[in-house]
Amino acid sequence: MEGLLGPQDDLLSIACAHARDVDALCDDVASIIFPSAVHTPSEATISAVSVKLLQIVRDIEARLHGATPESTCGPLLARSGFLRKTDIVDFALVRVAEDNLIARLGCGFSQLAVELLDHADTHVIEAAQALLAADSLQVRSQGRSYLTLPPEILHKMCWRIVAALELLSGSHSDNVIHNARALIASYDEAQTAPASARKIVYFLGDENRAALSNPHHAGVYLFVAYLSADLNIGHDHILRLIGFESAFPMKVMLAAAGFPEHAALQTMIDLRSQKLSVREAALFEAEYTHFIPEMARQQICDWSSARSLFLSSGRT
Amino acid sequence: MNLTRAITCEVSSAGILLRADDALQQLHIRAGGNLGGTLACPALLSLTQMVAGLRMRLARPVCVADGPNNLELWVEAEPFNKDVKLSILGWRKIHNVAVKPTSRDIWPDQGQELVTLRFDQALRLVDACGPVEGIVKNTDFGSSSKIILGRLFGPDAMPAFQNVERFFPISRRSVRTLNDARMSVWGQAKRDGAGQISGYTLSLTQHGKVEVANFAQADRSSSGALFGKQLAPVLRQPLHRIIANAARHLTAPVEDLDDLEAVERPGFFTAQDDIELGDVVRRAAGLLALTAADHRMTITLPDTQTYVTATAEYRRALQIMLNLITNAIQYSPDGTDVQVEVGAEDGFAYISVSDQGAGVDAEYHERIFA
Repeated sequence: MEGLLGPQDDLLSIACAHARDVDALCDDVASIIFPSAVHTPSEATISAVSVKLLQIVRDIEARLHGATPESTCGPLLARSGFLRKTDIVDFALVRVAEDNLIARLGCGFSQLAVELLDHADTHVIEAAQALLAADSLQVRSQGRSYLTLPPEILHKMCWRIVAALELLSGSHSDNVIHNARALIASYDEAQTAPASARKIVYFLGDENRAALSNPHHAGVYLFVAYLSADLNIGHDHILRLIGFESAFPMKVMLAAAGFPEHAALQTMIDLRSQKLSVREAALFEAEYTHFIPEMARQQICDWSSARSLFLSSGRT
Repeated sequence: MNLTRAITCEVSSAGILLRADDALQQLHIRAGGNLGGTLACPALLSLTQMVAGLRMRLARPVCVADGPNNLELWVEAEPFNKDVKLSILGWRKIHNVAVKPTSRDIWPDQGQELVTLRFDQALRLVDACGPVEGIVKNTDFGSSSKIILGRLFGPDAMPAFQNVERFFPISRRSVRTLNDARMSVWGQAKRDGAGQISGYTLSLTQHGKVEVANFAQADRSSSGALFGKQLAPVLRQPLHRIIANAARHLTAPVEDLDDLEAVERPGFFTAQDDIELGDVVRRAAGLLALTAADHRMTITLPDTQTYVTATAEYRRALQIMLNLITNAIQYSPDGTDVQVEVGAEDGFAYISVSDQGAGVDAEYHERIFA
């Protein structure tokens, strides 16, 4: 490009601008026509998912069989295809998206949860305590990563690891089975961050809606729980929509939840700051006011059904 | 309601309700269950079976039907010996709007300031009542519902008005206008005495100031960098509309070329109609009133008492007037006036169109007018 004359330079810059706009337009149209199309995750995401799953397997294994320097079950479960099951991979992808969101917001504990410790309703207080405890570094510290698992996956993973340990040792261990039962019995969904956040939203009712819709103040869990209750879709589904490659699903979701334009744009910037391109911001400005909340809700409902089908049968 | 004490029950792993507090027992009976039978609320039964299978403590909101309403319960369930114990901490009633719509959703409240638009069987505007300023123009009568609603709400909102074309009712729906205001919309087909559809009535209430969009100005203000921004809404139109629009734009120049060729053909002649020039200019100005309004221009016409007859082909005279007035609108500053006069001099009738545009350079006069 260097050394070109002025008019040619202009021509090239115009051509570049148009090529970029056409590319952006194609992406935009594609995301409208194929909103649930599977996007190939980046290398970084694949790596983060793999690390997370192996960490969970190692932590459960340590809990059942005692800590060892190297996980023996991880490679076996990976080879067997168990760690590539749809629901397990989806869970890991959601947790990676959640970690990214928490890092992006850059705030520690939910300020709102701290404020709710003084609430009049004891259910709200208990749930706020549980949320803060679940979110604390203690729970997130090494060795207890399995506490983030939903009950069905924890149950499935736990018994699969028991089977793997028996296979590797060539013997049946009552001690391992006893530990597995104890681990399952100790699980309490009410103490997990998503469930405690959802409980807070349930008991608050219409109270604190403004605070809940502000991810900076509410924190990721309460913000997502608020959307989950309002749109009647799952916690993990919302995280997937927020972390989607294109900004389009999140725009539809915010429109369905009735966010005014300025609040929606602020939320997009807060939660997708690293992903939100200039063209996505321009498209947001051009399109958002034209979304009809009822139709956006219908669209979300369709995506929710498609996701349920995908998770249950592995295909759409 | 938030409960002061949890409502509890015990359910066997097979789903049999073994014991329940009164409120839950009543709910179970209202749902068709009987004492000692299977728990009759499917969502609660499903949660129970999950706890029985996993042997884990679960806590989640559960939605159950209770007559015409839904209940949203906060339930914590745990294994209890070989059975399952459910504790309901929250019990909230949700009115089921799908079953029991409020009259407000079906039709607006009395006393609301309504704009009522009535369309005939072909969905052409025949009547408009209420505070219609900024919503309906005089030239809109006879226009299709699509044009009027498209101008008010924009092409992206048109799916919200699909029921109009199908003559289906529209329950209260909030629709965003192009200038970011909100309007509530209701609609209902009109039927004649024999029960046949005779038209459609659309009622609108404003939540903010509504200004009719000026698409011509919007187009002019767009820059090349907003290429995608302009095209994206266009691409969301139905394909047949895009093709029809493109075809219309392509047909017009072809017709113009056809006219030019006809004029230069050796055997060309025009029909000898008796026409009245005042009538011709009034019709041409009427057809272009909307375009002039978009540019905030006025067209001053001769008064109705002026009567100038001439011999000319009516269709071509009207076409000439349309071309002249269109050029005047297009090449004059917005907000100015276009004056049209008719008269007779030396045995010839004339029409004069004056505008405040830059005009045509003298060097082109001979080429254009000779």
